[in-house]
Amino acid sequence: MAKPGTPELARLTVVELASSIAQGELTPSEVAEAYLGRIDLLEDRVQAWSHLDPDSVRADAAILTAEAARGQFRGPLHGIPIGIKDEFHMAGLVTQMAGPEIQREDAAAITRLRAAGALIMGKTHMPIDGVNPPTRNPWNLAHTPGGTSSGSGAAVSARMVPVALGEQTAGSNLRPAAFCGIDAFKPTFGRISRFGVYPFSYSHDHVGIIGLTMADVALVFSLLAGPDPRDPTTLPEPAPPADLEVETMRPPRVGVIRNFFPEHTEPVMHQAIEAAVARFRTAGAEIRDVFLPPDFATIWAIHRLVGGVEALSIQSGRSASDPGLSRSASAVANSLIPASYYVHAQRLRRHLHTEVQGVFTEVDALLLSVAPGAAPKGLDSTGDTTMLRPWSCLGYPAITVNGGLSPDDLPLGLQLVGRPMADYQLLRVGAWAESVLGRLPSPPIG
Amino acid sequence: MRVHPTVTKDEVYRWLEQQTQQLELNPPPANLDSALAQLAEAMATVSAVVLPDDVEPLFP
Repeated sequence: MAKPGTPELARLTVVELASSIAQGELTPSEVAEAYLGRIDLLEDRVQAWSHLDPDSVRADAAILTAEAARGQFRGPLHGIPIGIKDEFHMAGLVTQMAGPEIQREDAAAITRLRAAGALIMGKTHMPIDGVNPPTRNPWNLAHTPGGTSSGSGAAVSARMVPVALGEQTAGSNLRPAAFCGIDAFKPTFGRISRFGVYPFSYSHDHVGIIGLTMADVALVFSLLAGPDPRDPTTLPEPAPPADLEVETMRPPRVGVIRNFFPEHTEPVMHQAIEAAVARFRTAGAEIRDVFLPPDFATIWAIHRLVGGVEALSIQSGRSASDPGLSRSASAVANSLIPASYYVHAQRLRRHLHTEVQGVFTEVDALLLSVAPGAAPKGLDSTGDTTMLRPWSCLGYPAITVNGGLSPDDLPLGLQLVGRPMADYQLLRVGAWAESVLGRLPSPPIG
Repeated sequence: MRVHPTVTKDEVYRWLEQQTQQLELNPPPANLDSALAQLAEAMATVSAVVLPDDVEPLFP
């Protein structure tokens, strides 16, 4: 087992770290020092963190270490470092997009992480009011890490933490993970409480998990999922188990989407999809071509209309203190959306939510890419959300897994989408895919 | 603005332009034309689909 100070320790997965801590091979303080060392080494270049207090992290780690020494473990994440997207409220800290006030209470997801023993390392960067953060892609510092969970994606990729929380309204959780060469999961809408997460769009916002493996993501999901009376949109279903039992599963049935998305996909990503399909087939998967129903063509418009109305409603409160918000072009346009169009868009959304489920009678997951290609150069844009918005709008679960590297050594993220509430089954498919496709190594940044 | 019968993107754009004139934005925000064009396209897209009357809205 790797010892403190060695770079190998910070390359372990959550499952490996948790096992080592539980067996007394590592202490939470040793783990914290390893990751703080990574942050100290790389933060100047990556700029993933909006708030980091090493002294506070060390103090929390010392408490967790003392508890472990007494044989007291809070839960499966005892001593596991985790990064939190700035959008989540944390008691005693500012949530930048919410304004300058200090938050008094943790978001529900953070409460559950702390109860499971997680060591909260700090808050990670995200765009604020349309201004992108300084965060860079660890695979190539000249490229965006994606957004809006920019810091969470970059931090996990650079092994500054083994896992982080993100949030997805359009494509904000899967895209940073895909661009940075790691895994991510956006569950079915309502599976994880959003209490204490500053909203972008009430019915599109999803808490997401960014990690190194599907097993790690599943472990964290098993601790976060479940009903919460403080979030009325949470579903009553309990959390699924953490163990994906991949060794007992049959190769899945994978549907490759052949309409709507290919026209937005670059040749390099087409090749990555077809290469994955060939390897899946060789490994025993049943591959089918899938064509989504014609009305699916409206899903991007639905997301625009519903998201526009909801964003305007959220911003209206802040506009009183920041009149510039209500004078932006998007705010003016959103203010003109007729109620009849909002309701019609929501009816179409219901129609598609039902219609698209029909394709899952023949497949376990749908395969497409996360983005048209690899991470774009520059920090002006966080990338294209075309492949991701439909699943945020419909609330279907989605994951990203490794699709290899582009010719210029940037990660290519594949996307797998499941039917609503089949989160556990989708994570199993993801773990199976990971066993076939492998994982990318750490980025060459250090 | 009606939803049905189907409206075109140009029809919606003209209607949105008229609405913005009533707002007396002085000066109008940068990129307003682009934002209105994108919105007009979205509205025309959903207008083109007529659903059975019993399809209820999805409010998650």
